[in-house]
Amino acid sequence: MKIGDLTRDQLHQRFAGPGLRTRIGPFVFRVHTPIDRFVTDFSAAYADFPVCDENEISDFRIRVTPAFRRWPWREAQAEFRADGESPFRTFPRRLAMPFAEWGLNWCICSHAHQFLIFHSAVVEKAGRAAILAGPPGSGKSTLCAALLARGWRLLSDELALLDPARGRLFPIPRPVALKGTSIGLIEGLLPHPRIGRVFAPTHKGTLAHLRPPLEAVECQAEPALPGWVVFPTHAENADTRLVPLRKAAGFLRLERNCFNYDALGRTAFDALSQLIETAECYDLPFAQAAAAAEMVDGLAERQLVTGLPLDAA
Amino acid sequence: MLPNNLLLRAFADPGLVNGLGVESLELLLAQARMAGLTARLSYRIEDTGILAALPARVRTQFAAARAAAEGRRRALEWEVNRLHHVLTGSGYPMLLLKGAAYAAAGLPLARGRTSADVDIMVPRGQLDSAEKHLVSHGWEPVELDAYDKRYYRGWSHELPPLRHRERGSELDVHHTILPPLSRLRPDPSAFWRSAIALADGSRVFCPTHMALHVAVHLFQDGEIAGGLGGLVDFDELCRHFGRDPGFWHELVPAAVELGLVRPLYYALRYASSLLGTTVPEPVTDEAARAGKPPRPVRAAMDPMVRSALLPDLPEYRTPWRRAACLSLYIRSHWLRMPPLPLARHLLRKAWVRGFAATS
Repeated sequence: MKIGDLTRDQLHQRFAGPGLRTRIGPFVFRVHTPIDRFVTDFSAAYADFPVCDENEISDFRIRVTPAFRRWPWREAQAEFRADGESPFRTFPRRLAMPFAEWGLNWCICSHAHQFLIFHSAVVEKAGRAAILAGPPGSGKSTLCAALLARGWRLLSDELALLDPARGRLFPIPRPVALKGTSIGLIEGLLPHPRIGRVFAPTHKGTLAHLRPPLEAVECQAEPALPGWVVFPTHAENADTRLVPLRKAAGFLRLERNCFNYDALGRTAFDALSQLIETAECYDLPFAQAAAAAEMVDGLAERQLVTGLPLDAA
Repeated sequence: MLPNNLLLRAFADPGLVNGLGVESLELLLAQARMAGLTARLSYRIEDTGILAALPARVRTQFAAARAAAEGRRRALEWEVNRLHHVLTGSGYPMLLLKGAAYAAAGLPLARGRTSADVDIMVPRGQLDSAEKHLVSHGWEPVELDAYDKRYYRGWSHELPPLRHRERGSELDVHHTILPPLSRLRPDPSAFWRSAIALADGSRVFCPTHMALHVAVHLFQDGEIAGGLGGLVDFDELCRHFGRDPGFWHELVPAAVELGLVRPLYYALRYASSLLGTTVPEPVTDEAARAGKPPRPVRAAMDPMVRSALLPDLPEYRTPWRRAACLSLYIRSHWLRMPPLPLARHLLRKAWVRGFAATS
């Protein structure tokens, strides 16, 4: 059963009562909330995700609850708690969805050390994954969406989860957070974009969530081996091209995007070495996301013709 | 009737975890995560041989917590190595405290234990020059407002925290184990006299002083709320060192010498009643004779300590718990400072808190 199959009443009953358990990538979240608007936003963005059985133990227990409003003239507040901990103070209730999304990222990054976690988007084609790594504003979400339009499968827009033992990337195809002008861009790129409510203004500007493609959610249990590591940088006047990077440079660049490299120590070093060994690394300055996506797509085409020289041991 | 403190019970009897339903298991894991005790709990459970029987998802969470704890331990050992290099290398005597000491001494309780910062002790007389020396070697004072700075300098047993410029690690430099104007004032020279030198040249408290320090931190200086980890430390120290009868012989006399019998009495009382720590009967009697508080105090402390050890989760949130935590918070300050400065300090704290919340 999917979240989208539940009626409005059933949703409210679950969220306000025992909590709704849902499988998102390798994790089970149990979400409690009495906030109507959040129920609507969350269940729209996560409509295709499976609802778990009551007997399935969760990894994180999330509570998004109304918070005390100190002054009557301030707008209604809410708070986010995961197992009693919270990454931030209260926030305006109307922004519960974006804050909850940041909260889920925080849960994963601070606890899921079974994975080596990178700040990057991951997409897959023909069994190989491209890791698109870069700081916020580098254009990775836009490039990611452009690749989805070319038939790539979404593994994640925000976090790459690398299983250090077997070198596989685990999907976590959560909604894609679109900021500012990229909302309009992506509406133009994707044939049938399913974009939710636009939240404005947050401390990161205007924000909306793109509902992940159905196929990405249906395949969320299927990991992929890494094929390419791409570092996109968007600039209006950039000369769009793929610049091959030496392995050592690729290693250091990707390490800088890793959340728990220090925590995992030797395991992290070995896993990242293995990844860089099997993947080609590129810099990708670009002006137009569509043109950049075409180049990345070319990498996958070449791989189909020449076979898989990159196969992991 | 107090609710069932699952985490406490799991530490006292790890075998019970096997029989828990999904709801209780989730509550236990949430509580462990909140207290930062997940990895330690997982080792306790492993020792009883039932780890394999737990759901795969739980084992994955345990493995993740262990990986993180190992990373923290590696970082801690490196910090100790650097401090040793900078301080001992320049002739400053240094004692490792708490987590740093357990890790350096390779004690079983260091397994899966995570500490937020590194704690060391230097002699009072060399405190200022040691601080300057550390600052010149990359440990920078953490930004504090004027009031907090004055508080640390005037009322505290440690320097304002230092943070390493490159590694970001926090360092607390103590000169004794309790604030200088608190009700109890143990003489720190005793710690130096009986300190134990490790193979690498660093020094740690002797076993009895280690146990007393935990007791003091929990029941004299700390707030008890969220102190479950401290109680587990005390239990594991007693289990480990208690195999040597000499430890039990020296424990109460050492507490008497330092004037720390009251916190020791509490630690023994709550470790044995809540965690099932085996304390030889003569030691219990000896501690009770020397450090037992009057009956009304005992009657008030028992339920307050039990509720303060409960986690701050919705399942456990009751007005009674809040009242108990507040009373223990005031108690900890009452023990720390004379009445007038205390009133000033608490007013200031309440003001800052209220101000921060509205701005």
